[in-house]
Amino acid sequence: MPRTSAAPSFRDPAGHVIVHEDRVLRVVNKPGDSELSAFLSSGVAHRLLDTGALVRTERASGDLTQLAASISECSVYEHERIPFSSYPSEWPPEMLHAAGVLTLDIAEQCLDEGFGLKDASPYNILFRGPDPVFIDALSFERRHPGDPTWLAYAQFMRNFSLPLLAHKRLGIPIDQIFRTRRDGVWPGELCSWAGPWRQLLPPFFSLATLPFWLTRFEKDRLYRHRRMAHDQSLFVLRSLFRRLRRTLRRLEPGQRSSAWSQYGHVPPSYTTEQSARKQEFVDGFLRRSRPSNVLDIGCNTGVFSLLAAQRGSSVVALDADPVVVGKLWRSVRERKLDVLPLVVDIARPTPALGWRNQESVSFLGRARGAFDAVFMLAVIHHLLVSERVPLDEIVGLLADLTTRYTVVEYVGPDDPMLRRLARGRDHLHRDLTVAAFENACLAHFKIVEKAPLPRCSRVLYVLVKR
Amino acid sequence: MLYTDPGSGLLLWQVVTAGVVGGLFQVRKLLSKVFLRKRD
Repeated sequence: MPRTSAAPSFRDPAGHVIVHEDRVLRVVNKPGDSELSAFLSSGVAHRLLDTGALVRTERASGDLTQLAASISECSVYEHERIPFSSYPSEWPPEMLHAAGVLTLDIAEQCLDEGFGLKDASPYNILFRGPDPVFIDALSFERRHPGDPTWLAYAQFMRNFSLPLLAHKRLGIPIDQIFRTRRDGVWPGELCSWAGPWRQLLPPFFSLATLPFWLTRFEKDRLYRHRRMAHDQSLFVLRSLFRRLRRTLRRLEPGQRSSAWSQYGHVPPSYTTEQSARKQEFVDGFLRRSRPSNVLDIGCNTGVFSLLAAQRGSSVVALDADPVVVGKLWRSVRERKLDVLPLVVDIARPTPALGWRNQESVSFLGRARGAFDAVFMLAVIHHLLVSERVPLDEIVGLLADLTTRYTVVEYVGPDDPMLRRLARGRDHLHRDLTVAAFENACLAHFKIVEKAPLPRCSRVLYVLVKR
Repeated sequence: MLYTDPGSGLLLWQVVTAGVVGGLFQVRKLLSKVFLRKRD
């Protein structure tokens, strides 16, 4: 029985996406097909496809008779499959910024050839490693040559400029914005967050306060089409894109620090000798086992994610701290490594969201079965102590996530970091021993390698799923 | 075909700035015509 599922992409009346036996297919109705085929034959589409900024899209071939009911009177296109889907609520501000820059780049490039973007949602973007890719081929439409407005402007502001402003000036986390809102931040909302004085100061005043005040003058005729001479409308739109680009540049996240951004470099984490031994152990595993897809849980500054990517693995690196994830993203983008860093707290992973809880798949729903190696290095004590998750549960999660290997670090009850986290509750972890840890692992895994770190209670393991 | 919410205040702000920038375009065009005529 072929597996077919409808991806939740019902908002655009021109078509929708279905996943059929691991193929990503876009079913497009007649008006949508005319726009899409015109766009795909344009020079700008070829340039975007060549640079990888636009997801590979071509007319679907092969046997599609299984889909007959859902594709009648429609055309079917096939997209390249992006290895791991992520959502804006899982991106650090740096990645949201990069997604905004790509959206503007594409909108501006389309202008010269008479096309435009009809929406500007961050859900149009996925990341291939650290690089943003525009995936919504139906966003392109032929624009009226005299139209001086970009109707997706408000959506761009709500989803890129205003969240980045809220984060940069008010410290509001991006994940909190996108987990609770489908369509970003509205100007009125940002005004109330900014408070009575700050909303009158730049850049709040021009980006949020003034548009919010203008809502009072909303009239039906606001939504009628506007026309100018072709060259005049192009001049107006180019100036709009220049202003949006300037705003994004001002809102670019700077270098920040957090409680965890220096972790791993200062005592009491590791001595130089322990750190070298740990790297050697993980590197040895990577050289011998050559996993293709690695999930690094609690990646911090990403030492082991980088190591895995350098050894040829495709890596998804998770951490709950957006500062370290943002730093890692900058580093892997610069070094062109196949690492996708995401802000995910493994103790509270991204839930399924949206309409019928089906618009965004939960993190665990996407991750299960997608990795042949999972790293959980220097994380277990945070889950045991701070999150109060039982050991069996932690090992059970690892078994759920990996299809083959797990590299895990045991941290004993006398470890200085564990004791610091325990804050006097040492009695709760009295039963935590190497033997108890190994017993818990043996329920799901075979232990194939074990290496105690010198002069501490930490032990590294390579486990293989039974 | 538009299906995303174009906003109200944000759209109005865009329309106002489009009017101003469109006006500037006309002024620029007029000035360049005048100067070109003078040069001729």
